[in-house]
Amino acid sequence: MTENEPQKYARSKEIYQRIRCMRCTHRIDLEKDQKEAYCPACGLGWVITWVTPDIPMVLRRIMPNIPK
Amino acid sequence: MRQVAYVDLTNRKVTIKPIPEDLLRKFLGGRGIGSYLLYNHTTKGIHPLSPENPLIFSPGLMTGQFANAMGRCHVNGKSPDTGKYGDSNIGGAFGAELMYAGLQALVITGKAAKPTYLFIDNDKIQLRDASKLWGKDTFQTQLGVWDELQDPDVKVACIGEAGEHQVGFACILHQLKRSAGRTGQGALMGSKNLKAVAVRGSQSLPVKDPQKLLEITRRQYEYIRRTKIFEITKRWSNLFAWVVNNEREGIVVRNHRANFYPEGYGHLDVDIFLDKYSEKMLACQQCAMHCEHRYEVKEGPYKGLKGEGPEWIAPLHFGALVGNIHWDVILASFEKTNRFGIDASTFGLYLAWLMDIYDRGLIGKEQTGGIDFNFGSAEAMVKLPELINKDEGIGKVISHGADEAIRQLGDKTGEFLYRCGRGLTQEAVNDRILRATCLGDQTSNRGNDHLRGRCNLEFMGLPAEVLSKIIGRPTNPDPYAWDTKAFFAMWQQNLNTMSDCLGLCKFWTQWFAPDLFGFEQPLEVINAVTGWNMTKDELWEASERVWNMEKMFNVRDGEDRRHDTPPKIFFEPIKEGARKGLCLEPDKWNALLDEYYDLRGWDRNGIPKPETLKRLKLDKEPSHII
Repeated sequence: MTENEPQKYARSKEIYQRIRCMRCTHRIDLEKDQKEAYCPACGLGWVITWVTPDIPMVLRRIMPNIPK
Repeated sequence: MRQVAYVDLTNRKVTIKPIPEDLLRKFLGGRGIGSYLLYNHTTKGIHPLSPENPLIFSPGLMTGQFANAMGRCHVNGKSPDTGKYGDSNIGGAFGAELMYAGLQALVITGKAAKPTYLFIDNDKIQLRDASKLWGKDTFQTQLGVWDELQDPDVKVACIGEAGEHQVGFACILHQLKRSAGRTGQGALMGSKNLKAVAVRGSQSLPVKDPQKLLEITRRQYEYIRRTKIFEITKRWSNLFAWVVNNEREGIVVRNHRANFYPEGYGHLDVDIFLDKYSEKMLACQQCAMHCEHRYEVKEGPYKGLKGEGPEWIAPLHFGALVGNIHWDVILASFEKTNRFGIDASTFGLYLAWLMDIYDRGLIGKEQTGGIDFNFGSAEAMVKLPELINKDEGIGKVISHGADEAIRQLGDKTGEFLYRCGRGLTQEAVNDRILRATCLGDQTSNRGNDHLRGRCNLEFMGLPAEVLSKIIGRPTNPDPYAWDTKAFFAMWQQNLNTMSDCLGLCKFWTQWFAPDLFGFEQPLEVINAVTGWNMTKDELWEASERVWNMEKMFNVRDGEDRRHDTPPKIFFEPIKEGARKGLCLEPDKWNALLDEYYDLRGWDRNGIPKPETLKRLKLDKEPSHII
């Protein structure tokens, strides 16, 4: 594909082993296979799953009392 | 030369005409040529279920070509659900097969005297008796057509009983879940006594520069498969959108009682679906992404159930929206809507409304036929599709338009059925917290619509410089800011229009992720296939033209600014959660709408100005060229 300038730029900024805080969109760097992470900006915690060995995804937020 | 076939079901007459190349270049294919044909073959105030209202199938301009993700087909017709411009888009292999049969568009008018299905076998179009198929569901209908034609490679788009009963939100289904869902095109098909359209095509598609197309397709594929979104989608499908929207409190829970659904934690998590139900991933024709699950329920009351999907709409509209936390109930209800040819999205919205008014005591078991309609009721979720399918009981009440349902259930119930200005039920997304997204959705010509105007890049937290480079103008990345959002919405609408016109899946475009296709990549494909040497500006203008063509259809029927108004609840502050207090402010909304109208070249009432129509070469419409 002929990458246009914005796409090249977006790709150059793409970092694996990183998630985005779903609350405040702050980026959070992760260690390999890390299962949980807290957002340094807003403090919210996230449960992580790994789609591939390099690509983490947020599964849900960490809540002390999950409603039943 | 690409062709359009006109089928008059009343007189059983078929006419095939060539489409002039300059018309294709103006409107492209798919949604573009579909909206042109719809405008040209209807008159002001036509009844959506009248025989004169055409049902139009139009594959995208590049559908079926050896190009990535170019496999989609558009369906146009005045909407039986809203009485306004209606269209829907369908994946799978149906569109490509129409192209291989030599048809860029199929226009069906009239009403057959008895149940009929169309069989298109390359240049031959036959009207065949569908009496044996009438009353069958969409899965049985496809099997029945294959059996009768003795050819399982025939691609079939059909309706279920819901379409036969002209349920306002009946869909047209292809394969197990590919559906032209919103705006009730299934009801239009049913009103014509048309059960199915079956297509077999074996013609090749001309390509101006095959070597170049091959090289472009390979290059684009190599690029896309290295993106993160490709890896995620081919494993999760778009179920990640369910997580994203729930976590940012951007969904609608229990019919607007909340915007975040922690009750689903540990139940509706995506990994539970992947571990327990997903069997394999499937794809539409021409696509390498494989974004669709095939699932099987292996235990419990729905053991043995198999189906395809679900997309993010399933846990949203069959989960959070109706207060349900069980994947198997979601899958059971979702499968029934597909099987019966009911639009799953609209179904969930009506179900949530019924549960809401049941909970408020505005209806009781005497109206529901003894069925428990409390939030989360599995009984209601599984039985309501059957009642709609049979046009019985509470199913019949909601099947023939929101106004009719409110009339039967009481005016007070209408306060809790949320509809956009064009009358389409409001999708279960909390649009009031996002400015460009809300504007893009609410000004969509078929009604509020995430597939037309949702600006997904708005809430990805992209740096301003990245977002601005993508959009092509300085753009404020703050989703709650009001400035610069009118052009953002317009850019998104034009990009999505271009996708629908070409037959390109939006999952491959910057609607979905910032590093996917913009206008340039599909343009490369168009030029390799047609040799037109089209420019990006010309493609942008064609998208704008198509948007205005659709708008003209609505304006002809008396549409104005009022129809771009979101539901009243969007102007009420959110009561709890991280977005507490946020809402649309009327003054700012109206200013944003004015800015959008200016960019579009419309007057303050939302009507395209004469000079805009002239610039877009729409001033002579209807031109009746084909």
